[in-house]
Amino acid sequence: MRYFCNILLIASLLLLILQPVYLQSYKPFSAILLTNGFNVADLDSLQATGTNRQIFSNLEGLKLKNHQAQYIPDFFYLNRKFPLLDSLIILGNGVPESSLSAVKQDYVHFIGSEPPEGIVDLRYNTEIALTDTLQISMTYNKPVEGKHLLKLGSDEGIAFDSIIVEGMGEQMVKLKTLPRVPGRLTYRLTVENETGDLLTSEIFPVVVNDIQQMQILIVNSFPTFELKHLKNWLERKGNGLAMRHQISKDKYRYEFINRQKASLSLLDKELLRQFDVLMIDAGSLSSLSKRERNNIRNTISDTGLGLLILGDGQLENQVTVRRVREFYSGLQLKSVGHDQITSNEFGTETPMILYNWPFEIVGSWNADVLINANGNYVAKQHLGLGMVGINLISKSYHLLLEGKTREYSLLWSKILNEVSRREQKQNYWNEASVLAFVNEPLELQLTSNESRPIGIAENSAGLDYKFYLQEDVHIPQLFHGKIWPDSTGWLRINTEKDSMDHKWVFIQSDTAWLDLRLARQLYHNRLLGNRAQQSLVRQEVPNDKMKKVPISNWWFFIVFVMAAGTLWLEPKL
Amino acid sequence: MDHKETIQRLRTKWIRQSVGSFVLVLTGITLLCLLLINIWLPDDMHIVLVTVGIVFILATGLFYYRRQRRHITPINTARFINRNYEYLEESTELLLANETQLSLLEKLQRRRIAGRFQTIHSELRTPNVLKRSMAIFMLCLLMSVVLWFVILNNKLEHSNADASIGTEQSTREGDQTSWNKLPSIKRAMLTIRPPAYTRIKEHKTDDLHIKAPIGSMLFWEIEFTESIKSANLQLHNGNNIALVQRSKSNTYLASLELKAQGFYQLIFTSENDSIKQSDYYKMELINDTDPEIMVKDMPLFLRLDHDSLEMIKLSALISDDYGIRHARIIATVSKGSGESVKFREQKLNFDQSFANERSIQVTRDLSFKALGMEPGDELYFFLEAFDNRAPNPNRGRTEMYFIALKDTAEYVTIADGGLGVDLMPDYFRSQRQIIIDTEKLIADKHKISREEFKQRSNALGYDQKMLRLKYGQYLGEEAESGIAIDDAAEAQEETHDEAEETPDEHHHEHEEHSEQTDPDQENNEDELLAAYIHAHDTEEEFTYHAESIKQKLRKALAIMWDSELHLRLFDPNSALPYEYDALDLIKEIRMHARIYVQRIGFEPPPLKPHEKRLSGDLDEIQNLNTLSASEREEIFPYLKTTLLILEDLGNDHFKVTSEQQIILQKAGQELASEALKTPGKYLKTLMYLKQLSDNSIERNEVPEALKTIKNACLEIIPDNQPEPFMQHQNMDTLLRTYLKFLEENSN
Repeated sequence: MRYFCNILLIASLLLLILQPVYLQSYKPFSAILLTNGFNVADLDSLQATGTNRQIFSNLEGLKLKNHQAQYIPDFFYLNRKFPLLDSLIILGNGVPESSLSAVKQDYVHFIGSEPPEGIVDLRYNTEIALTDTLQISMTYNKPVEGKHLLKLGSDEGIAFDSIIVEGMGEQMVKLKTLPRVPGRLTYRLTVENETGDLLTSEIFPVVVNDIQQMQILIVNSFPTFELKHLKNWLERKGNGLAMRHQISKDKYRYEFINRQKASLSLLDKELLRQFDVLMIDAGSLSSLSKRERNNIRNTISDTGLGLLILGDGQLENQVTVRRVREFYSGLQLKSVGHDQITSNEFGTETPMILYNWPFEIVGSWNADVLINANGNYVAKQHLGLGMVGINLISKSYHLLLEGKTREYSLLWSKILNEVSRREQKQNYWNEASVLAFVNEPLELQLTSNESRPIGIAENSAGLDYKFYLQEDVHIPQLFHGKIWPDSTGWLRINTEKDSMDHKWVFIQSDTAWLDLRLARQLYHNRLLGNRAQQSLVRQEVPNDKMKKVPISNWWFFIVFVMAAGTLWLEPKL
Repeated sequence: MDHKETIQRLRTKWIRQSVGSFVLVLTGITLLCLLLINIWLPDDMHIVLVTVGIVFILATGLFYYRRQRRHITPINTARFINRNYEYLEESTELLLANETQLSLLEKLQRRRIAGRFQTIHSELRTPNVLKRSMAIFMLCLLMSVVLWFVILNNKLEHSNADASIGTEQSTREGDQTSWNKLPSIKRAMLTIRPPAYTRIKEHKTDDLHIKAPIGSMLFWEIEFTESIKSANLQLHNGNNIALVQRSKSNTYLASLELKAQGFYQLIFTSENDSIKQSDYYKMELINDTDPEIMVKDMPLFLRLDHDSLEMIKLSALISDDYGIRHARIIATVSKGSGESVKFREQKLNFDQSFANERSIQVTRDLSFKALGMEPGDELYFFLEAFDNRAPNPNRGRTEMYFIALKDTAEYVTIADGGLGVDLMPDYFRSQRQIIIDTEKLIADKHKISREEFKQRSNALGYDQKMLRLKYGQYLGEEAESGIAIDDAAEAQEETHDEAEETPDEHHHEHEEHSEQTDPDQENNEDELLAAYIHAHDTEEEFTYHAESIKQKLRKALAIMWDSELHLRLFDPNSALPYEYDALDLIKEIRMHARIYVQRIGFEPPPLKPHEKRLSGDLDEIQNLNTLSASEREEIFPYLKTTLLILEDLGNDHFKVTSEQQIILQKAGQELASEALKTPGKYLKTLMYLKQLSDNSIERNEVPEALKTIKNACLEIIPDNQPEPFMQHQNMDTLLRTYLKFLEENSN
């Protein structure tokens, strides 16, 4: 007896913990969810198909003539109250994006309203450097005839760029401007019709980062005019330079500009770590000792140092080419009979005329062409964490002498920016979408070396609060977080331990960018609708479905009490 | 009569009177306070203020009434009566009580004083504070009326001053109680007196924007509505000019000489130390330009025959914006050539006189004789003019004009590149001159007398002879020669052709000379002599030129002789063909002497840099170390920062901090330097910038100010040039691993 009661006791306790279920068949039902902007005609036609569907709506106070709609505040409520709901047809503008994750139904169809008039898609870099061009790409939907003027400008009405949209339908539009100052800037995008009426006026924010100068090390066999002009230009831009020219056998000239002196006689790792780019001509690279070449290679690979190999006559020598291949693997050079090339790389008014060494780089799968001039004369490829570039342009300083400073700047900025070391931030923040709104979720992504970073968000009033991040399942150092900003204006986001690497996000009011947000909502609802496994024509819901029904814990509890009671009572009897 | 009722009525009256007096005093004080508050509020707040006042009075009055009702009870009223009427024996309260509830003694006392009360009930009075309250109210009312008129006057003055001259702002912080009593400008007059030499009359204007010639004197006369402490004109370069008060009046004067363009502002300090500033006014300069000279019909370079013209007529138009004081010609005559060239400069005046006219036509004849010029000389001249500007007149001048007189003995220059050395002597070039003179003689034959004709022909013959002799020296002929020499030359040439094999060698051919047998007896003497003397000047030994040249030269000499013959026979017509032939031969000789060879480039020996380079002795050469630092070129840094500051400002918040004020002031200086280049363009921006930095901008001007300043900043600040900079990258472990994997596998 006691033995039997013990078994019952333990079993009931286990079952209480394990919570067993049993399968039960049920007949699921389908429903229609009415959202903002739904078409009554669609509802009527759906109900006329004969299938009995319950009607829900998230519109408070909705009254329909021929139908009865039950109000539900959100999807979470719907799932709780109607767990047997399997098929859902959504009419109108759909459910908000934040609620989409709550949609558990297997069969969802979305019959959405027409895309709104206005900006339905927007893409631009929310964070750019001071010398970059702010380029905004957007899709503008104009369902009516007539011309609309899109203007990019400031709050005070100063216009930077504009474009006229004609025709009907969705059109890709691009606007651009050059920011003049670094900082947190807000631009205004306005849309006017032909009569000058203002249709839309929206703010979009940009963070323009000030630029930080580079440290460049130049080693070459002999002084050249090309490097002299390059050096002067880099100096005017405030970059730090260290140069070593060989002027004779074992005789060098060392120049240090905007930085302290260093010993350049031996290129060791400590020295190379101080620089972002090493510019060296092929001849000098070939004549370096094996140890120095290894130092350079390891520094590029481990720390991301950039190497730019400048072409010279020594490239005819196979030994030199072999030595260059230690850095730029698979390098193949082709002799060419001309020494002048033209390039339209930067879209200047007239093609840029440059002079080249009599070689051309043969393309390879792992190399990127930097300057396209009817041939490959400047290219780069990865080497570990760093970049190695080859520059076969022998002369470009004539552009400066001809007064084409901008072309010269474009050329060398591109080459150096592509090859130079990338600074690694301790914490790197990223937001999921270009625009953020008050009281709407803002998804953030953090790449951090901290083990358990805690986020701090500070609004424009100086109030801050903490938020917590979840580490990515697959990628360590990647964290995800979500916050709901409660005030408009600039929001500063950083980790608790590091306030240097921060991110600025501009929170807009909930009445801003209505067209864009509606378009996005329609898009995401359509994606959701594509999960439907059967069409509306056939019967979308199977006749019988099995569901898991948990066995009530009370049974186990009663058994547990009885067994325990018996064990207690039995000695007394 | 019911005594209770009497007391009740008295109580009611007392309450009313006390509340009334309270409300009167309250109304007076409230009125005064509201008027004082009204100074700082805009006009559209009047109704709000009045409403607040009324509500306040009513509420407080009601509150006070209820309080008095509670406080002034019938018992208190009875006590009040007791205090004022002694013979009621402190028993008035008994009249209020219910008789049935009184004791016997109380009833007796009550009957006792009831009668007395009856007698005095018509005399009963409450505390009379109404008169005092009325007095206070009247006083407050009077003060309010006075204050009202003062405010009204101030506002009228304010609007008048705004209509006549820019915007006035008080920039003194903390001095807010007296802003409505600041003085303003009643009248402003500017007198512009241009320099005397411009002959522009002095004029007066009430427009303070200035556009006047450089050097003009400017006189300001500013009359204020009230007396002020001081007034200044602040110029764009920071200089201040104090305005001087005119003899105890409210009129202030200032003067300035207009030397540079820019802008200025009027700043004055009132008696209570409040500072007011006016708008910015521009100062635009009209420069005095140099005189312009236009020379007519005169080429820059003129080459004349020595007797073709004896003078040239020079004519020019000189003009200036205000007047020309003086003009002249600076002429330089050069004589000689080479190292012996001499220059003589002269200043020549024009025939006309200058009377400060703005435009004048001038002429002058340049006589070569008067200038002392001879054939072969050159004249360089230019015109210069001075205007009437004082003290330093402006000068204008023309290009340099060249007039060259041809030399009679001048020869045509030959650029003979083949030889490298011009072996032909200078006098070879006069054959053409002889031709020209001969043609001229033929042309003038009928114009001149017979004697002169013969004389000139003979002179030309002589010239031809001299030329022939000079040519003949090349062929080894003596200075004086005649027909005999010429024949002998021809004979010797014939024998020379047979005997000589190497014409370029210089050798004695005495044997040849001696072997020659000349049937002509005249030559025998020369042959006999030739055997005993060294004839280095004979044509056989003459080896400068190739043989054909010698032949041609000999022929030319013979033709020249014929030409001379005819000229001496006064027959230039016959001589002319011979002269042309001689010229042709001479030309041929020149052409013949040209050697056409293929140019051969200089081929240096091949370089061997790899062998030679870095092989020198460098012990004394040191490594060179240079260290330098330069600031990154930054254009308009403060204007850029101003753009950022403007981003944070808006209609609701436009007050700047002290750090921002400094930045805005410096931005103003940057903007001022740009404004100087284009006067009048950025004046409004400067004004707004100053107001913003002083925190003195009006709320309703903020949107326009922000827009204007931002517009100006965006206009002035140039686009950023592309440049290399430190890039940032998000490098997580996965990416690192991938890149390392690529590196390993690419090897």
